[in-house]
Amino acid sequence: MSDKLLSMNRITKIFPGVKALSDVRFDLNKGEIHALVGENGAGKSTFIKVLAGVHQPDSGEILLDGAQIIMKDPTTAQKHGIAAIHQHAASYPDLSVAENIFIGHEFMIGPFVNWRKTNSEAKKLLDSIGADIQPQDIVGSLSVARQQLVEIVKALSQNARILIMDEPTAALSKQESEELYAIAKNLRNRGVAIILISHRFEDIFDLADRATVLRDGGYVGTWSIDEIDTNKLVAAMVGRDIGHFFPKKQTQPGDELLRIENLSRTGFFRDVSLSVRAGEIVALTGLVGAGRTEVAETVFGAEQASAGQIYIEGKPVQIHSPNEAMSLGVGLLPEDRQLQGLLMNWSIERNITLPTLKQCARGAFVSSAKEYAMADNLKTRLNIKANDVKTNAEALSGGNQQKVVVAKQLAVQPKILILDEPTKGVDVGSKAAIYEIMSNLAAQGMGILMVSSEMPEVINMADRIYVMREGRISAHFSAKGITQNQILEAAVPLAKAARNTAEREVAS
Amino acid sequence: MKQRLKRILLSWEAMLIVVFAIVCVAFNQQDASRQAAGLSKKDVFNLASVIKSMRPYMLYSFMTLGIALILAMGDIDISAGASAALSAAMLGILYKTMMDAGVPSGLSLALALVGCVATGTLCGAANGFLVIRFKELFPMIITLTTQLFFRGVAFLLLGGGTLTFKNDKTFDLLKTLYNTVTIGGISIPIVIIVFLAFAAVFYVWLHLTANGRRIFALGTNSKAAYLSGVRTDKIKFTMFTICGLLSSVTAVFFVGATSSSIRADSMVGYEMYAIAAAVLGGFSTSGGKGSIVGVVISLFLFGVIKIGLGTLYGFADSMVNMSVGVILILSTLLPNVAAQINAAGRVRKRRASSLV
Amino acid sequence: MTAQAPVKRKASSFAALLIQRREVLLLLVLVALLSAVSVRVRGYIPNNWLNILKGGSINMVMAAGMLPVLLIGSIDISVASTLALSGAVSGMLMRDGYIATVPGMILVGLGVGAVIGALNGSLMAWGRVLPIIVTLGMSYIARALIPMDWLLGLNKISRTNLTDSFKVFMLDNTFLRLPYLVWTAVIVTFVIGIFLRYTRVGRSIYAVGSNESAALVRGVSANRVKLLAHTICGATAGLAGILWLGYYNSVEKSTATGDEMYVIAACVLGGVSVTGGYGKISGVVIGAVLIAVINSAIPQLNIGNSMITEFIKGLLLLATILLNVILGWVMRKRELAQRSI
Repeated sequence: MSDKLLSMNRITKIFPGVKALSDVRFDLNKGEIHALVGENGAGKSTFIKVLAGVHQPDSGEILLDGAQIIMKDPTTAQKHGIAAIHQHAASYPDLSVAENIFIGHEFMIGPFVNWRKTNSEAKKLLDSIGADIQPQDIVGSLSVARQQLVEIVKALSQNARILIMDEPTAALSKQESEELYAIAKNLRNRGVAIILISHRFEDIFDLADRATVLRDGGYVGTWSIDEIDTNKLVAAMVGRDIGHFFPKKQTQPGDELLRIENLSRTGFFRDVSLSVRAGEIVALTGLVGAGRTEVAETVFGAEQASAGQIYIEGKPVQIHSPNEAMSLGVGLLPEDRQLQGLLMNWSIERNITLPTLKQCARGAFVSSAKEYAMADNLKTRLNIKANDVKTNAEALSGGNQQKVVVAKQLAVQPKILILDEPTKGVDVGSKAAIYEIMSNLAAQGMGILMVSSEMPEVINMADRIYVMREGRISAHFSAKGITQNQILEAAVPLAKAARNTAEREVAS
Repeated sequence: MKQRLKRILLSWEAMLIVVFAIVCVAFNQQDASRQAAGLSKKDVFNLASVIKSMRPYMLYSFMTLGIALILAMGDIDISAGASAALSAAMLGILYKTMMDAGVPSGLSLALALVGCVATGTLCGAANGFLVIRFKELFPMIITLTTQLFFRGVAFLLLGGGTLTFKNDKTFDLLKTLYNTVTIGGISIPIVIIVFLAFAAVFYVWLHLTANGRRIFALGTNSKAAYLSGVRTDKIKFTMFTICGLLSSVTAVFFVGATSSSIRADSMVGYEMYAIAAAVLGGFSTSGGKGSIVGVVISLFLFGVIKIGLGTLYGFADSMVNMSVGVILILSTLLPNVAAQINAAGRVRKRRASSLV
Repeated sequence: MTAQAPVKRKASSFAALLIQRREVLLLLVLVALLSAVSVRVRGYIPNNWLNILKGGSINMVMAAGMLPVLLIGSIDISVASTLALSGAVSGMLMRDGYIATVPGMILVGLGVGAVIGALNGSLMAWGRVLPIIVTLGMSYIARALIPMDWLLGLNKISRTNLTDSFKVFMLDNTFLRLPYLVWTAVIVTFVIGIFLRYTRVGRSIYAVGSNESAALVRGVSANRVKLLAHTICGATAGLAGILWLGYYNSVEKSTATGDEMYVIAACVLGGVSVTGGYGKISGVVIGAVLIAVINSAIPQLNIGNSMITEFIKGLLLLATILLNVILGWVMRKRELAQRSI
């Protein structure tokens, strides 16, 4: 093909002890969006780092416009027009948009930065992709979606020809994702080639022209997007067929365990009412920023409600702290397991027993025998993959870390378990395992409130679905026969939705 | 079992003991060579004399335990010296006021001691309150300002002068705190005995109980600890309060040591000694680690170094202070450098083996 | 300074102005304090403005140097000791006849300070030692050097050790009615302000403070930036030692003990974030002036003996800092209540 921009052949990269990439190939055409797919640990990020000059391959060649290039450092990659946009976008949250775009290439007058010119050039670039952002805005005060736009503009300012988007929509709402799609398509039409890495199959099927699958550091295959579907893609990723990806067990809902009435927190959500019964999995969904996480935190006592009432097993309760919530039988799996869920440099055992030290104590002293027994028992029960419970949490994979957080909550023996984005950033294999754990817990009579923005898991795992829109409950469905569109309609703000459709029409 | 033994041998405390031993041996050699050269008539660096000379360097040991608790949470308290000074001032003022009012001297002293400890505790509680109420401000900034405030109150109470109690038999009872008791032929300062008792209690509490575990959890990741049901605010408030209380214990011994003269600018820089000793003992300003055993060893190590440099090498106070500074920096620098060299070596080794 | 100010379109009330621009609140406190003192002490401002400026200059110089250090999320509590050491070294060199001129003194002061600062920065950057530990240790070491036999020994530097040309330089030489001491502070502040705002290297200091790992990726070496920031801080502290010598004509081992607190306080009052990334020189200037006014005004109020000054200083500092925070809460609450949900 004449418009072949990049081809990478027989790329092998060896790290101490592991062969991270072996004989991987990849090619990219001008004006193409090419998805790179694989489970966590399949080698995607190593591959991207080889392309971006962060890692040097042990063997293999990189051809750009047919000429071989040695990508010796990130600066070389930048010079050849390769730019990467990361999931947590903000490079410098305290600095202005213009400064983030032009950092290191500011317009100068002699030795001094020309702020007027720097700002006006930034404005031009922002306008060119249709981003309504002021160059003087502090990047940290923008939404993650807008921060990503700033990163894209920054890449364009450096005349990027190849844009690597690493999990760009992981933190974005549906609407924001669609805005990003529109911009990505726009860039493609301008001849920019995009490498898209995503866990979300929607992204891949909406955007990509081709998809390449990696597995265990090796190359599996490349398909045109028309000739592959979700099942095939998953099969290629995991190397086997996942028959029961959503192992939902049918249960007969029991007594009402949790009910909240007209719960409000000034500035975050208002008049939220919902209930969870024993044996039920209830989903609380909506766009990021709709107030779901805030509701979960308030029920768990980490934040205080300004009005409303919480009932546990029919009794009105006041919950002032997570400690009180736990003693009332409420558990929470927080959204960010590394920052909120785990003490990363502590052992699995110590992480699991932290909320239940009293149970592991003999008098005032912590009994290491009891501690070990409790942790080891939960490790077996949840099938946490680690040598033993003395292993540090940071040494585990994302999925196993998430299991440790679940184990920690189960040790308290909660009646109600709130799971905030339980499968965020977890590989496909571990996802299935976590769904299975959820099903089993519900079958044992626990009430589960699952905060999630992943439509497939909401639809397939939940018994009932509450949808939040701009801080209020906008809809309540039974999960039977529900479609993704019904949920999205309730989630997307009305005025904005209309505007959004219009914009999409203009863009396409 | 083997691994456990290895871990103990490679622990920070074990390294401290090795350093401690090396320092003692070196000082002993110097002592012997000085005798041989006729510079001193008898050996000055022996167990009995060192233990006795240790007294002035043990005054801030109580405060060090308090600072260690604060460091374990990842915070810092710079006001400890000032709250000790204020406690000491309160001790003197209360005693004087009550004596002037005709209260029996024994009762006056007892009440004054209670007032002293209560003052330190209150100072700590004030810090704790500000720290948990004003989370936007760092404990360093808060205690930096409260120390000015505490010392200011002490100045106010004492009117800028020195309060002394000459030939006051009752108040002189405090001096006995600076005495020694003879156990097994060696006279051991009371302050060391009391400190070791405190240290034992704190060791058990911090390292063996659930509460101690929660303190370290808070220091490692306060958000995750809070969401795991740890009552972080309550712990912080309590720790700052205890740190204030321990500062007032230091104040009591200090008044005893300085022949009962009380000034508002006493114990300046004690908090720095305490921080230095706690850091050398394995605590870190970033929180989540450290051991009371390490603190005890490092306090004695500091003492021995100061005594040795002073008596054997004739170094003045300033040189001793300088050694504190050097030790403080080296005690974190060396492990970091060792870790970096270790990591580099491992990478090289692996690379070499993987390429074969 | 527009690129630094967060643009919030809705906020327009006075209270909003207060919280967006911390300097405004500080200015109000300053005005309130000045008027309160003026009521009690007739002619306070006309009689004292020069003394306030003179008294605040040394602190200002050090605070300007502290700004880049705080911006990268670090801290330096060895500045007061650095001041004393620099004063002692340069004073000794003048006493022993090695230096006679003012520029020589300034060079020595900057040099001594820069060496200490560079040492601090290197230990943090390549030795990975925490800033508070490094600078705490360094404050011991620097101060302990002063009474060494090869430095001051048991003596101190006093008027008789200094040349006449040096003694008159700082206070008696004036330009536009301001003594050179004040002009030095103005120049240092201006240079650091321009450096931080308008040069690439200056912006890299903000970049490192804002996100250290991103700075690494973009080819800005975080370690070198750390070294630079601390070297600047050390150099200003060293310069402050010369100013001290010029102002007080004496330096001894306990000189300026505890003054690092006022330096940090000036920055914190000026709205500099202690976690790095945010802070402006204009805020630091107002913070330093406020502290200078407190230092000058409280004794003149004749509330009691000089000791009460310490007390009131502490109280005022604490109150101003807390007021700042509480105002932030009020604004946050208002903002939340205004959200449409």
